[in-house]
Amino acid sequence: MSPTGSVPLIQVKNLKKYFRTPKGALHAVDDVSFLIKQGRTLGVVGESGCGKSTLGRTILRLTEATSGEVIYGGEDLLKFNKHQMKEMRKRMQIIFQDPYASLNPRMTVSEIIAEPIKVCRTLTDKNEINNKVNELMKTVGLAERFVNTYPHELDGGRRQRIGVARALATDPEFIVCDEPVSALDVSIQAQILNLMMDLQEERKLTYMFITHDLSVVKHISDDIAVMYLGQCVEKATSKELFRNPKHPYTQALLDAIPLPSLKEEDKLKKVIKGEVSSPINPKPGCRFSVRCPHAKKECRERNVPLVDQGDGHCVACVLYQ
Amino acid sequence: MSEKLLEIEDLHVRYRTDEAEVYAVNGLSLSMNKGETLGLVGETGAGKTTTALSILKLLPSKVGEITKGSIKLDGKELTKASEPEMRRIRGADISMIFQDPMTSLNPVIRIGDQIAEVLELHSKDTNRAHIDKRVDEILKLVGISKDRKSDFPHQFSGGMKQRVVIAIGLACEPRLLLADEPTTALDVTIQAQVLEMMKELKEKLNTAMILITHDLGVVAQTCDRVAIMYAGRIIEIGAIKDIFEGENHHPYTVGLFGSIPDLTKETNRLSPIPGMMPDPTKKIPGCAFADRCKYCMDRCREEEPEEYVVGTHMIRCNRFGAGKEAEA
Amino acid sequence: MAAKTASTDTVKKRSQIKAIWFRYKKNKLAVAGLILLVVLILVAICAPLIVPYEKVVEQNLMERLAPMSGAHWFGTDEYGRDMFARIIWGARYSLALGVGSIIISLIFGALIGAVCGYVGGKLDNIVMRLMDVLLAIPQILMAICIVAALGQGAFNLLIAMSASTVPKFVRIVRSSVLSLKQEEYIEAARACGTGDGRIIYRHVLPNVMGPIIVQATITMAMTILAISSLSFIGLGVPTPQPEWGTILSENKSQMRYYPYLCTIPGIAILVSVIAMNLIGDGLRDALDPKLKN
Repeated sequence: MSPTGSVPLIQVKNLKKYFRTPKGALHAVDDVSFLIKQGRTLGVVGESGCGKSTLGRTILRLTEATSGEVIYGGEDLLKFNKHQMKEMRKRMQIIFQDPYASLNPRMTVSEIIAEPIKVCRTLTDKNEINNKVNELMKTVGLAERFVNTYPHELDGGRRQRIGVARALATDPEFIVCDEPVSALDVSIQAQILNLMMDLQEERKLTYMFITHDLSVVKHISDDIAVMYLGQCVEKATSKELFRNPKHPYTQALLDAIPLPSLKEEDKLKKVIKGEVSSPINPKPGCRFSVRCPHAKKECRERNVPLVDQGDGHCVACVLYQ
Repeated sequence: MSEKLLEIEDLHVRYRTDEAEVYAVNGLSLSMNKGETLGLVGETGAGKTTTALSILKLLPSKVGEITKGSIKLDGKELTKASEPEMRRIRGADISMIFQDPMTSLNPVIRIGDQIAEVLELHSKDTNRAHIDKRVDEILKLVGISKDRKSDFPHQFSGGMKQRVVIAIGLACEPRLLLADEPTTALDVTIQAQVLEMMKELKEKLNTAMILITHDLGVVAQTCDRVAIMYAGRIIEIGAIKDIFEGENHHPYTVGLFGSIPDLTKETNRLSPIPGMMPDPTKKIPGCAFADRCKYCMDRCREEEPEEYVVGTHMIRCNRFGAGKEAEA
Repeated sequence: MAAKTASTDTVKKRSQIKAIWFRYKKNKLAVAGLILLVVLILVAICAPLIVPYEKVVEQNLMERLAPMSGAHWFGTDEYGRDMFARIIWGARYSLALGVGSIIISLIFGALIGAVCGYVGGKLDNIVMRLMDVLLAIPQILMAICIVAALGQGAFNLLIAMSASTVPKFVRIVRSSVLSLKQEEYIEAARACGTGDGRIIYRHVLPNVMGPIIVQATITMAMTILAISSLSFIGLGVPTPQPEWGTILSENKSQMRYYPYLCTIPGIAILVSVIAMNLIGDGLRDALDPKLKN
């Protein structure tokens, strides 16, 4: 196997997902391209409705893309037939946000974890499956005594550990994490984040980490893509993005986080006005221009592409063209 | 020091379910001055919301029950108040904002009418024109144009809805506002807008507020004092400076801060608190945090730690004060 | 509740059925309904042990319209048949027809509803419009039409009753499936490559069982009533087979002088319907784990 961090595992090219609504086309994901290298984590940040969850689901083909390519191991996933896709699903998994809704309430913990193994037939022997389930439970830090409990008897942290174990059941290499810690308390959130980072190291996993929480994304990601209304507005390494945020939206996002500190420089800065506009039939031009303090006439006239500023720091803003 | 607005003394709340009794609040004492903002911080199940519901006497009937303690608003005992008395107090003297703005508004009533309803219930002036004028004023206060008062809740975005909810909460200029995670359901940029607005309102109206949250960032930006709750008790309380910049802390507070990824620093691993909150169906003789605490001593498990008070800062931990001396 | 399980150190499989029973038995009326039903079922099963079938059809003109006595507990009808025997054996027909038709319509209804809800699109549209048409016809009227077309008899009655209740189940299952389809655990199953069939039977159906069972008990009460009504107007189980409705119908001419001949089968119908309704009410609460009290 090639050394981690150098080989692209998954490459998304011009991915689009439009939903048809009575009022027109909802541009959930609009021309998004990025690349995730093996063993690395791409953080996808944005506010609700920016299309980050749809992006993750489209890549896994849980919803079908409108157009674009998802290159995985040299092949375009979106062109796979049902059978090929089923084979592929062993290698890519998803962890969901809501540890309450994402577990079938009528199945026990062991049944939930064993289900992907049974479906994918990676193991067929009953004993082997049992051993695997026990091993997975140990990996994610679930005590063995919970095998026969039902999810509703457990707390959020333990439930999310079940979700992680289920995602690991088929030994995948790529996991889409859709806000896996947003529904958890801070102390539990930290436990799960640590677990996910340990797992990544042990198993050489590649993550696409979707979240709205900038402090979490900074902590776990190597690279970050900031999304606004279906488009990627800024893309950089985690360090670079937080040190030197370029897009006015990224700056606004960073300024809006209330920091747990009383220092004067950490006080909430000038708050950005307005709200996210509708993603249905968006007007041409920069979608953030309505709220942007630097908006010019030019911004509303033409689409602004992502432009590399050097070192892979890409920004879609007329200020940096 | 200004006058005391709210005094809670040794509050115990219990929920009775089919399977067991849940001790949600266990001996909580708290006092608040007029016009002060108190942040009530803790994790799920710490008893934050239960405390707020007890103040309003809105605990689920038959299930939740205040078993001991007193709650005084301006010297008036609330635990003994009758239901009609409480109804007069709710909305007028104390009002509450809930977490989810989507579900706390009635979807079939225009928002102007929803605000007017609170006014009609609590003010003696039932003149329609006066109430209308007041509705316009309140909407202006929370930054909503009065042209929108005949809109229905679904026509508003999440942030705007929360503004409406706050408007309803503030309509009668209550002396105390209980805000239960008012910004948790909102996006960061919208949260920042709402927080800013709440800060301005607080200064304008001089309303005391208990802000229930799990987000220490929100607390730092809005509160005057902070109380940290754990397993139905306040384990640390103090002025905001004591908590965020003070030297001594309860081990749980330290753990809580260690769990947040820091935006300003580079950290590779978080240092979370091991384990989970203790079983709320059991009564714990000593310190509730003992099982997860790395400083746990024998005496921690036997008796509840004494309060250690320095100025405005109180820590309930044996590592400090009398407990420390006894160990030595 | 979470922390509670954390403190128990044993590996135990606490079945959901146990939890449901725990909640169910708190409702005293529901327990009474269950006892009534069990008694009725026992009577139906043990009918040959209580009275031989000959007594049901044996005509004894010497003893026609005999009053209640030690020999004939419920008296005799105008052909001198023992009413007690007929009522006991009637339980077999009424309950078997009721239960049978519900099981048939449950299976078909759940299947059609689950597929429609899960697949959606054109298939869903066509099937549901068809169901709407069926629902628009009153149940009893439709049963009459089917019996009239197929001819009288217990088996045809079973078909008629099932066919007329299927649309109800389709509707309920479909709407439950539609709301379930959005659940993340269904999406999680799809992310593992689970096929549609397995998703329906392993993830969807177990989670819609609650509302289905409740609907089944209540529909069963209505079905028993409908069967009796059909028998009463002569389209149900033909005489001399002792269906309760049939017995009621046979004796209607005697109502004036021997009212108990009509009252007793009436009470039997009433008791079974009440039992089913009480059970349905109890189950509705017991199957909802969110209702803690």
